[in-house]
Amino acid sequence: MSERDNDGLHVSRVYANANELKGNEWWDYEGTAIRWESQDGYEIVKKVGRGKYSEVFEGVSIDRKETVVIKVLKPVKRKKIKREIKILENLSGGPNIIELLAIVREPISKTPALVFEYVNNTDFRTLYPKLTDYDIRYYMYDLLVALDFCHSVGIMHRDVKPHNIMIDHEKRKLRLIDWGLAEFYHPGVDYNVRVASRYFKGPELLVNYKYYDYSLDLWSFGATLASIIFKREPFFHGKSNTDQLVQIVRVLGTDELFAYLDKYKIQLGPEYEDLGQYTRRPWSRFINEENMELASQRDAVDIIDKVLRYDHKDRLTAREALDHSYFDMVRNDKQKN
Amino acid sequence: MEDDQYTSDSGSELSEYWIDTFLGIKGHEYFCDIDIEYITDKFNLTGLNEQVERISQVIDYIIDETDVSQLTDELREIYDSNARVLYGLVHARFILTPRGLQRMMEKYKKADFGYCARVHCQLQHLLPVGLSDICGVCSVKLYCPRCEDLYNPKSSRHAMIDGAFFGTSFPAMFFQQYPHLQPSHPTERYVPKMFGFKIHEYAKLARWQEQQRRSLQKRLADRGLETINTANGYVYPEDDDDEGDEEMEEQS
Repeated sequence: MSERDNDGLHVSRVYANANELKGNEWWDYEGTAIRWESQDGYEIVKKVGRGKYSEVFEGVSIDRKETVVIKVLKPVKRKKIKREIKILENLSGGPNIIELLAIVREPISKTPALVFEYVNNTDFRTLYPKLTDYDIRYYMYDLLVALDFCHSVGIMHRDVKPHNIMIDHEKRKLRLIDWGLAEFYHPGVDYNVRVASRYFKGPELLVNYKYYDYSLDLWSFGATLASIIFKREPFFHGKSNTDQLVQIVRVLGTDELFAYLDKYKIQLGPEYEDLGQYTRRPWSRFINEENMELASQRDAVDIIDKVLRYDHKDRLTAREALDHSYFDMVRNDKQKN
Repeated sequence: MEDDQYTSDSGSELSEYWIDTFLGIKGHEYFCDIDIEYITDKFNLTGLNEQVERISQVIDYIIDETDVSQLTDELREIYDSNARVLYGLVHARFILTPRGLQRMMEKYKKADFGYCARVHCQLQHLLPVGLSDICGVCSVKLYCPRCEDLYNPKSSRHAMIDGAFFGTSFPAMFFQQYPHLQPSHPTERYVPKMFGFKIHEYAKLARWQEQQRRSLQKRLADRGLETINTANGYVYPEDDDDEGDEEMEEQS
């Protein structure tokens, strides 16, 4: 399973040895025991959502007298539950990371549930169109802070998308949620490409390249930012996983895709036989009357250009993105506070 | 042949008492056996002649003083249906007397009237009751003395019986006569849950109600009125958790 690469072609540019440095205790989630708490102290108020792997409720903590979020996990492999819990515990207290308050379990059926801090989120379809240019920079900066933090400690989120970015606009608070697909990054390990949600899947997943790393999250970040800036939701609108790559190729070009595939010696699957021929479209082509105000900002287009790259190693890292001029004003303001 | 077995049986049908036949009808399990002396005492029938025609003959019919062989089928049917009504109306009066209450108590103990369907009532035996003392208004209902609520009988046979044949006063009179049979109320209550989590709105209400009940109990106790583990008061289940805590403290 583990295949070391001597020239480092298949190894992350940054934080490659984060887990090695932290030691087994940090990343060996299968070996850690879960400390279950009683669920009696928490009660359900209403249903707020559901996913493939969970039912999510707004709840209350009776003792702390505060609103919480209760995520009841659907029956999945114990390993996956342990991974999510270990990652949440490792990231606890991290910047803009959703805080895990308790791990509880129904005593008879042993149905596990995770209790989180509550974020008074506004649905992104409502919120994003209302955000100012500055707001967008502000929240995207917060998102990158969360990503750089988790990457720096050896964890890739693998499901970055608007649905997993909770924003309490009144408190100007952002939390990156749903760490159910997150995984520890070990250099040279092949990972499952069936992660992330279709519109936010990086090219590496779509071409079945398994040695991907943290830079996957930067693609998803870029796809999210592009959808906001160009007011096109989602930005890459694939009708299937195969079509998802086609949508990307129509923007980034065919030649550039083949250069990427050559570099990493990736064989394209038979489903892409009639991929077609596309030339790279300049970002300016996506500017229209509706998105003009946001999309005519040169630094906005520049940062999008630098993360939406086929070659995951060419993409800005979270740290590099934070240093981009797009965030100059936000960075100054945040440092003042 | 095989038919012979039945011909001999049909002869004995005539020899059965009307009351026994009546009580043996499916669905008539709620009725008790009324003493002949009670039925024949005209004093007990005051006012019933307004509801049953030719009451004297009907009484004779009930107590098997009528030569049924002299009656036409048509007439016999009329007598029979009048007899059923009269028996029911007398029954409502009889079960309020000490002897009637005694009969009904025996039936209550055997759970002839069924069990309460409410889970927290823990198969509490029921009592029949009418919502009206007038015939033809409402069918018989069942009263649970534990949750103090009314239920429809499970079986359609019972659901067709007139409530006036038991009357509106019976269950209350029953517990006047047998106060020691009055069960106490369980304090457990159902709070809806999802995946083991209580639904907050219901749980909050339940906690408030529990608090109200405890403060009421305390007020009553201060005035010397006992409400815990007494008839018609509350029954408290053994609280295992509390005992466990005490033991822990002693050990440490």
